[in-house]
Amino acid sequence: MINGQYLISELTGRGRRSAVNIGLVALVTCVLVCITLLAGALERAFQAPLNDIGANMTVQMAGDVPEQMAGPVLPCSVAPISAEQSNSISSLPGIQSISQAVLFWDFSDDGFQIVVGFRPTDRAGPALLRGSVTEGRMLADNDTSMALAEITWAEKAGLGPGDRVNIGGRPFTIIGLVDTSTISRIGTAHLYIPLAEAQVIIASAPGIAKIHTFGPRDSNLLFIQADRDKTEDIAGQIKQLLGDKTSVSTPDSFKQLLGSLFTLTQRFSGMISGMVFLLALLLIGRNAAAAVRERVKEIGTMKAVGWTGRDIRLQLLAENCMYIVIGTLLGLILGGLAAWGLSFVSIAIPIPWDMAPTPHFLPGGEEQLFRDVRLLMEPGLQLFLPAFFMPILLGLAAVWSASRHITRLQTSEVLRYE
Amino acid sequence: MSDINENKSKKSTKNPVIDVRGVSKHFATVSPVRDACFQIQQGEFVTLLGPSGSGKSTLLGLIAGFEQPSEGTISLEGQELTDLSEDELALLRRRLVGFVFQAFHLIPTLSALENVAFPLYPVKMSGQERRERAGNLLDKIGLGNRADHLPSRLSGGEHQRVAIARALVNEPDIIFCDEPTGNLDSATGKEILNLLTDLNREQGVTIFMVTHDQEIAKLSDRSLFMHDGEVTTS
Repeated sequence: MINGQYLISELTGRGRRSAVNIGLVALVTCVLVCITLLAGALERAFQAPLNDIGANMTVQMAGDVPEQMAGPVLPCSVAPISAEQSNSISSLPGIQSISQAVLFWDFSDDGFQIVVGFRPTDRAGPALLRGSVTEGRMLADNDTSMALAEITWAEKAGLGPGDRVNIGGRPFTIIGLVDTSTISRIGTAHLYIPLAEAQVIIASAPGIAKIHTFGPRDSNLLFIQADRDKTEDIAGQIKQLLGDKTSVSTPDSFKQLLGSLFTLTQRFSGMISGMVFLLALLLIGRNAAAAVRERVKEIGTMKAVGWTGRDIRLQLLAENCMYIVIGTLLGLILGGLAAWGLSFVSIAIPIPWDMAPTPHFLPGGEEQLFRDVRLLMEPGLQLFLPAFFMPILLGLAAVWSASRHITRLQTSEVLRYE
Repeated sequence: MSDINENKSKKSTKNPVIDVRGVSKHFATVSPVRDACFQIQQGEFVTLLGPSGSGKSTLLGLIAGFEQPSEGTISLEGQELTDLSEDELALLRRRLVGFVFQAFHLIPTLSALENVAFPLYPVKMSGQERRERAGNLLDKIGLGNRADHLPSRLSGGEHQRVAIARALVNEPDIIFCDEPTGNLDSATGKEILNLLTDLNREQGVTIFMVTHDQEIAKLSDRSLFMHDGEVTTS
């Protein structure tokens, strides 16, 4: 039978021991909460650049550098991906959809522009710009000779809806302006045109024909939606299918590019949690054993005045449960506060140059692009399981450790400790 | 203390409440108790005298069921201790025995009242009844006004009086005392002894007291002597 009065007296009367026990449980809970939330936030952050464009991965192929920067050229050194190769990828298990795009540079006597051809009805890639149209309208599937212009570029060029631009020597009418600053920097351009027209422009461009064979249904950038837990497997299969020159970008690619403490934290969160747990286990077990040693006389007195072993164990179990409950709640609060503080931190995820290529010889062409992502903490079941069960395990270990000492303790010790 | 031991008669000689037969205790090469044989009747006040290291506390521990003898049998109110498990011995002590230690052994985090009620904590009983019973005992030993005080705020004599009240709270037939005045000055020691002798005479509680003080022995009904592990009668 557990006595509440004795329980509270022990908690308040032995403040230092209670504080150490509660503090250890709170520390473990807090660290587990922080690491679990941080790992989840980093996982989401690494997915953000691709999620922004509705994809899990992008595929590009490396090719030869254009001989001359004149007319439409594929960015150095991006090679075409044939329609057959795209079809092969789409048949891989785990692939949900593929969005083709044609990304090219268009040099003319007047200047230079980056152009992307895409299918407006796609589920990923530039088709997601439909939410970023600031003026005019989005491209429709049956539009021809019409283009969307990126708002900053258009303002600099003094262009707006209704104005005409030349792309690959063909006239296009701007029907809308889009603001790409709120979405990922992947595959962004100055002008966006229907995929079929981009394919025709590139297939007939003499500068490209010299180094590449570009068919009318080919592309050079794929946005892929796939099963999230299979992305790395699928990336490997795509590389196997298309060859060594294939570049597949997945959330892991961004982790590798970041290569910072965050990446280590994310990658080793399980190990760090395990180490913290083991350390706490040792400390709490040792503390529980010390508490029993400290109370040898008291436990002897308990036995002498008629407490059974079960009575003593129950009382000690209740004491430890109290430490665990208070420590866990405190740890959750502290962990929640720490996570809240961390949620104001942003990390800058570098975007590979070939995903948003600008010629090196142009101003800003060599600047590294970044996507700033806030570390948003999302508490979920994966958080509460370790946060609740690990302290319970700690408490049980403490009671087990204490029980071993109690069992060994002879009642006669109380007479020998005079 | 009218509610305690009301059903206990004054000194009786019918059945021994403590029956020690041929008890020895061996630890490796040492035998602190050797072939002890004696009986104590209900309501008797018996002292066990002997120099330090003679085996008094070991024998007391054996009789109280704190540990098992290597040889012989011990019975408390006819219940043979060697037949009982550790938990059964604890339950027997809860039912029959009160203990007063030389070092008091009060729980430092509990008040005087809670310390007195401590043996009743594992017993199914309302908190109010427990407090009332402990409170009555504290009043009886003159510490009613110190009920809320922690042991750290009590004097040595008050410590021992609380320990005596604790020994009585389960209404025991037997009180074992291990040098109960050993840590007290002579005046306080006398007070404690008066309290114990009053309990014995008025309530008929059997007292078995370990001491090395001949003066205390004079207050008892009879004394046993212990020397080199052997018990002799006076």
